[in-house]
Amino acid sequence: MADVNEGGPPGRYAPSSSPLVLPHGMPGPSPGIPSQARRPLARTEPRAVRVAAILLVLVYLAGFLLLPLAAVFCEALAQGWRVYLAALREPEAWAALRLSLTATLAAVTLNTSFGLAAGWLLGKFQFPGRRLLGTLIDLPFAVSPVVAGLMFMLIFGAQGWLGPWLIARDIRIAFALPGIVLATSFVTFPFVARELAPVFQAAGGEQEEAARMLGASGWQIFWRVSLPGARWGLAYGVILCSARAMGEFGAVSVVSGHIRGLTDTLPLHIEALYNEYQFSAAFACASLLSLTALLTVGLKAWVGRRRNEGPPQPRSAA
Amino acid sequence: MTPTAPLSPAAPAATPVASIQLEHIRKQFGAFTALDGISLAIPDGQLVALLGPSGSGKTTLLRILAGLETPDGGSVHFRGGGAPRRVGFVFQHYALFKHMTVFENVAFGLSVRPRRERLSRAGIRAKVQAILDTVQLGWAGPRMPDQLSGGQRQRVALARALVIEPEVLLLDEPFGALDTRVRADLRRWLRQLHDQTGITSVFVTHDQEEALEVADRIVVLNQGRIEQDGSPEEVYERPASAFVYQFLGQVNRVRGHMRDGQLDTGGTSLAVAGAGLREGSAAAAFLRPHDLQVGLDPVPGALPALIRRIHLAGPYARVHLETLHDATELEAHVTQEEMGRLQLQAGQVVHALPRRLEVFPDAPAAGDPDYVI
Repeated sequence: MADVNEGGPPGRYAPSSSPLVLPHGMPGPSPGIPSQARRPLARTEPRAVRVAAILLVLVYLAGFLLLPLAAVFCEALAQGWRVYLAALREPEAWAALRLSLTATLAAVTLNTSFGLAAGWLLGKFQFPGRRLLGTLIDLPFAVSPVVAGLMFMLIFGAQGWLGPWLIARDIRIAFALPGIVLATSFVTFPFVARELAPVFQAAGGEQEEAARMLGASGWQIFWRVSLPGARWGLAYGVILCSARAMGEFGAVSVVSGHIRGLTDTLPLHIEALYNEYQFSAAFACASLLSLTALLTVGLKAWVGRRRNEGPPQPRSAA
Repeated sequence: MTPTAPLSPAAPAATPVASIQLEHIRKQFGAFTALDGISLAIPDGQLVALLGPSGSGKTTLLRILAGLETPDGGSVHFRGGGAPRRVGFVFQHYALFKHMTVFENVAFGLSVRPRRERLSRAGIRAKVQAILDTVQLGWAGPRMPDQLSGGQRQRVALARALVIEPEVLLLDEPFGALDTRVRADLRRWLRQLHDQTGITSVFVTHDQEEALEVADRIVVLNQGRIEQDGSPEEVYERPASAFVYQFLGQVNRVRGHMRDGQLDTGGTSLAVAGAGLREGSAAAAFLRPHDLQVGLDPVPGALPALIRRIHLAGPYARVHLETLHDATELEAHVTQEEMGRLQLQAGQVVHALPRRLEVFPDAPAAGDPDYVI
């Protein structure tokens, strides 16, 4: 029966168990799982339709993704490597990059802790207000980042609710790192929780119950059973969250105050340079941001594959 | 028929010690009554089957025993009071930790103990290896669970539950997700394992054959109540209710009314042994297919019937009949020898004589399994 999957990709559809599990005389994997070796009968569109669909996708990819990306790198290097490197060596560019990384790290840390708690709650428990919590978590996706930034200014700005009180105590939130972290965290709030809730839910409660029957404490169950079971989902959420945090513009633009070298993140710095007609420098910094994006996309693909494969083990048995 | 095995290999004192004592357990899920006052004593060293259709409350009862559910009423007593106890639990779908190797899965219960009680690393390794050898998976330690077959996974789950040396072993439909052949092998093996270890065990099943073959004792549940509690022989040969009769094994049902101490089926009166049913009340006779003797000549007490179909495959012929007076469907099992003598043909009218039957009041109960022949 093992040869049913021959020709399919290794791992994904490899028989996860010996033929004993299948009822005798059953044809390999369940009929619902498409074998990648053959094309399902249901998909027999005329050749012209397939070609047209493929062309459409390629044109879109080229027009909206590859072309702009290429343009960024071309423009960045238009005046040669020397200008490119000089633009990156600029102290203000460095400060912007450092600030972006700091804010990203802080936002990801905050949202990972929150996301673990919320994902755990949503995935494993039924409680009054569960649906409301799910909706609230999605709110930052719906709110425009600029509005999010304005909300924080309303609270922490000099004219805001807490502004005078904070200024009196020399605590700076608006136009400073804490404000930038808050704005970034708000915008990237849902990623980890949204990624983890279904993973926790899919794992069900049986493994936890099994751990409990074996004498594990609640703490041990979470750290040794639930969390490792969801680790690829967690990694996926963290990567998405980092990518979004790194590129955040709107909300941060409102709360940062644009103090060059101090409160300009990398995206804000790029805009400032662009507005000053320093195109090479702007695109040099933009290329840096694009590289981090490409890196996260690569990581995401890798993690996504691991997650679907399941355990990171060679499948010598299958 | 499985002969009743002696209770525990090392039979203790005169009175069997009740390992677990359940009193008036009730459990409600919303409007649904899962358990309706269950009282049960599970003696030391027995292998007990909780048998019933889905929705009968058997899994809920098991989960209450495990402490995974809290009963709404009643009490559970373990031997030695409510002291911390070790309960091994085997889930229907194994519930193995997918991110751990087989070895780590089995070692889990040992490694989560407080440091004072924990074995040394080498001690754990030796113990896990020993239990893996017992379940014939000594080679599988470094494998991941999803590299194993269903039967192998279930044995890992069993090893994981046994390694903590439980006082009680609970199994929830342990073979439910396996195919027939592996199932038959595994349950024979579970019986052997129980004979070796003597751990008080309770398993849930909806498969009467499984219960009859493996258990020392069968508790038949229906709609949250115990219908019967006895040895496999007792529940099969002397069912306490119409439900048990229908749930365990194949059965024919002939309906009628009590008249002059006999069951009047409309055409034939069936002799009933001391049924104690009220004169004129609706009643039904239950009889196993092998207790129905097919003959060519009319005999007093035999039901005239038409042969619908005959299935010859197997150790005996299955003859499907339809009574002439009210078209009740009956199934008779006739030996090949008898078949040769009688030369039965479909379409023929014969006389079916019940050799043994049991009569119960005929209240069309809601919990009737719908596969009555």
